[in-house]
Amino acid sequence: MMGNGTMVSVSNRLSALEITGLSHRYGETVAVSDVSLRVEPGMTMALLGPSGCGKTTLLRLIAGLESPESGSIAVGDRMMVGEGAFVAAENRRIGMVFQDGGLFPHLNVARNIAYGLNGRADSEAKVRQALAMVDLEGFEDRMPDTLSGGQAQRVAIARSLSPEPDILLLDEPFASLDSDLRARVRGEVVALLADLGITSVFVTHDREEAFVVGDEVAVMRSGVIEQVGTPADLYADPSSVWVAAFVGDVNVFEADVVDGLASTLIGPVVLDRAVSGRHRVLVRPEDVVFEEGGRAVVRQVEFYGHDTSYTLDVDGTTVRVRAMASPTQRAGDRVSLSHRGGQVKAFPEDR
Amino acid sequence: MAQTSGRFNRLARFGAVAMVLAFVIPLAGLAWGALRVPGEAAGVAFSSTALVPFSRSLAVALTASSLAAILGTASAWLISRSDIPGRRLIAVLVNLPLVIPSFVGAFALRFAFGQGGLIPAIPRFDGFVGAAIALTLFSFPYVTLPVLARLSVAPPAIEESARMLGSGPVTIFKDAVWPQIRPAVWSGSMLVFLYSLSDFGAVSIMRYDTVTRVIFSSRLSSPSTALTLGLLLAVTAIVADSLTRRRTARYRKSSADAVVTYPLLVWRWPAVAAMWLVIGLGLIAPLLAFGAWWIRGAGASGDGLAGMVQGLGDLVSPLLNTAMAGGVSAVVAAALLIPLGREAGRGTLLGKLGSRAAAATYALPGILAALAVVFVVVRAPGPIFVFYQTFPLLVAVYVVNFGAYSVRTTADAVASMPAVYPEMASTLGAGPAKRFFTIELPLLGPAIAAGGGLVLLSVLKELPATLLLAPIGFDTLATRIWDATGEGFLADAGLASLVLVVLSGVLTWSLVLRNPTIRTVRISARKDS
Repeated sequence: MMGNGTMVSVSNRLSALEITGLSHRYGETVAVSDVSLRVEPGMTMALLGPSGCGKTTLLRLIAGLESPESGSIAVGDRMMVGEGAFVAAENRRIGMVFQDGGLFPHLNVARNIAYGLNGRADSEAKVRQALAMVDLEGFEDRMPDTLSGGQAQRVAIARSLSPEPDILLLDEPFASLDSDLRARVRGEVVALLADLGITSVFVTHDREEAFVVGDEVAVMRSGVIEQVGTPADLYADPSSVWVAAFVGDVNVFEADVVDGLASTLIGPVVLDRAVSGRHRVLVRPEDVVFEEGGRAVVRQVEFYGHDTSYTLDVDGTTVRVRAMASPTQRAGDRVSLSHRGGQVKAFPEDR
Repeated sequence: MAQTSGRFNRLARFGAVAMVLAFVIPLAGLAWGALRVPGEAAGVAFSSTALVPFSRSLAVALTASSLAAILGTASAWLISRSDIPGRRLIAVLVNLPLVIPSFVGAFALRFAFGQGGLIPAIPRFDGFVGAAIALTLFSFPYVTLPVLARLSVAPPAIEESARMLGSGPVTIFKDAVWPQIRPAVWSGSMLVFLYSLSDFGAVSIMRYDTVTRVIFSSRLSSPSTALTLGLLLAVTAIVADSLTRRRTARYRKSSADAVVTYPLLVWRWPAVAAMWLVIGLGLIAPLLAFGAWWIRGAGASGDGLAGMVQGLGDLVSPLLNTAMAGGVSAVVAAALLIPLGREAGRGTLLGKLGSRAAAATYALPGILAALAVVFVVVRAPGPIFVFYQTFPLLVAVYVVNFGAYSVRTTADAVASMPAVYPEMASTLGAGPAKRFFTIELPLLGPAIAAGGGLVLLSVLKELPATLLLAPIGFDTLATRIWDATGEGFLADAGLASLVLVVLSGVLTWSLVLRNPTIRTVRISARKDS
């Protein structure tokens, strides 16, 4: 729906965003700690983390709404912060879309979008283009309080894009939309960002959203970037147990490992490396299979239509299993579990 | 955005600092004036010239605030919780005495009754009793309004469950209602206390010599007495005001509009009689008296209708003066105090200091604000002295005295304005000045206007500062009433009072009672002594 037809031209010089050793604290609380991150020109980086992990602070530092304690931020070859420089937010050419849109309530849609154009001669045409881009032609005279949540968010995106920023920041822009609308607007925005080829950073606490939106995903926890990678990499090759659990459901088995072979609750599991000793073995629910009869007891069955999720009890430990089929077991049934095979990660106990 | 300091931000900070100084200088001048000769102030403070009027001030303020607490609580409870007949009409009328400046009301009460009055059969109100009654009648809505507001959002579940547990109305009031409304009763009656303490006009008309009257009469003959008494009064007012501040509690609100109603049974008619007595004395009697004097005066002069119109014509100039003084002060206060209001809304040190200072000069009785400014200005070098008894100085005193309204409403609006708007504007390339003029100012506009409106209303009803500082020949409605009552020209006073009450009524209705921007009744028209 969006992204078709007329396009607002984004500056053809695509810029990389380079963050180096960035730290910031509020009083005693460290919000962002020694963060380094590079977003390649034209790419979308999803910044994923639980609430309070510092991801919004990082975004505000990039925008220039906060001033970091140390570290630097550069867009292309322009130093925004660091080496004695501080470029004010209004001079950064970095656009931002806030959680609830933040449309100026006293200005109509056209004047909201024109706000960043500083009275340019062609601003009327620009506004029309921007509205066409988000598929809201004819909405020029509407006041923000007459728009639906999805419309308001689309106007907000059009407004942030119309001054042709070098970087676009999005702070949980769909958090206030209900789930159906959210998936739809998100799909449109992903398509739009890809078409425009603008370098962007997208903050979210929702793993699914991060995976859909981000070319790459940076997982953040307690002010620190834990891991950066493509969604597939993060899922298959997490850098820690915490990241593994944050980006998806996972069974963590404490097991003795000998030369890469782990003896777990669900039987032998081959690890991706020939390590030995006590390890925590990570097995995704979809990689566990079961047969009728055994020591595992089915506790709960959740049918989602396209797949079925089972919660089982094995000697007092809970194991999750996902099968791409309709339910074949009922609560109380006994089954035996085994590993499907494939790459399995394990971490020494202290990680 | 603290980082984007530029010329605009420096200018704004300078504006805020300048207004903080404007609030502090009168207070400092007063303190210095009273304390510059060591020992003299203490000598005056502990002499009978000071202690007698001071104890009178305290007595009348304590009496009026206690009576107002009872009257205000009772009327609010009757309106919102009982089956009193004519509840809606009473609800509208009972708060209206607020629009009558206390000295105007006192003048009506004093001259309407007794020998030579409109109703000779009823004995004249006078002295302590007259002052206490007048101050109570024209200020108790300061209690009624917040208590009503509190009662209307108190969760009915508390009272309903108390009732289902078998408690009677008295027990329910004591256990379930009183704890809910106590903070409102407290802050409302504290306001009445401050109001009565500051009052000059009503006590003068009732010929009851309180501190404000002694200050007024001794300011030329014995400046040290006036200044010491002033300092004593200022300290009392500021302490009382800070007590009000600390006692503001927040309670859970309920949106449920199920209202609990109690049948009054045998108390029905006594309650109706009491309410109408209050409305009669506080609203109807003064209005009738003004009207009667106006008509009678015109009749006595033999001009009839022409005389009545002639009376109105004579009021054009004071009316214009009042409007000009109020309008100019409102605009000046609203505009000059925007920077300080922003600082206060953001909770900066400067802002906290400024709103504290504004609150202190606001708690200062008008006569003291004027006294302090006179004291500073007459000692100031020539270029400032020339402003003595000029219009700009009068406006300056009003702004300093009532500026707290502007600071407070602006600060509230700034604090409740989502930070996302200015931040959004800066990511769209807007610098501090553009952000302020295109985003902040339009969004704060209604609150800034409301603050200015409250300044206007206060100036309209102000008496003592106007008497002391107005340029020679500059009549306002308030001074015209004052002069007329002093000389016994009841017809003139009656008509001017009617005009003033109508003006103040319209403004109070639209700015205080009907305006959602003004969230607290605390900051409402208090200074009209």
